[in-house]
Amino acid sequence: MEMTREKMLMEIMAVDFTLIDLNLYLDTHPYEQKTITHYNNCIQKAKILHENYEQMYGPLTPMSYSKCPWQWIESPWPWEKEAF
Amino acid sequence: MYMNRAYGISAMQYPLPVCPVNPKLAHAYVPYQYLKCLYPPMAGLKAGTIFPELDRPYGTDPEYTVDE
Repeated sequence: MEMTREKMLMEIMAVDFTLIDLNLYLDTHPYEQKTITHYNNCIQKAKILHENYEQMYGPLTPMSYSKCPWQWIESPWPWEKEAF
Repeated sequence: MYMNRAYGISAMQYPLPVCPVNPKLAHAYVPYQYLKCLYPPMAGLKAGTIFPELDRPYGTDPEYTVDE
């Protein structure tokens, strides 16, 4: 798998993980405006990263637009990483 | 979470003590977390948490390590 693609995936995983952790924190701190603002900024960043990736390499989940032919079945699958 | 049902969610708007002021015997409590600083996304992913105060890798504290 080419370096930029892997790097983009890593960045997506990192920002998505930050969102999950902030989500858990905010569940018990629902009135922290500062943290909610930070969460919203991260959502914005994640959206851009997801969109950029999907434009270049196709869908990250089956819940996004597809060109024809159906892109979801395109290689590589996550377990085929070594082949690229 | 240290939140009394009798006070409802509005009680959460006020600063909560890290630990209960009058702890009861035989009750278990979880200290209330206050945000200090956060790891950047990549460091958080690698550490498994974005909160430095929760970053305690297994094996570094002998008290919580059972492996020899």
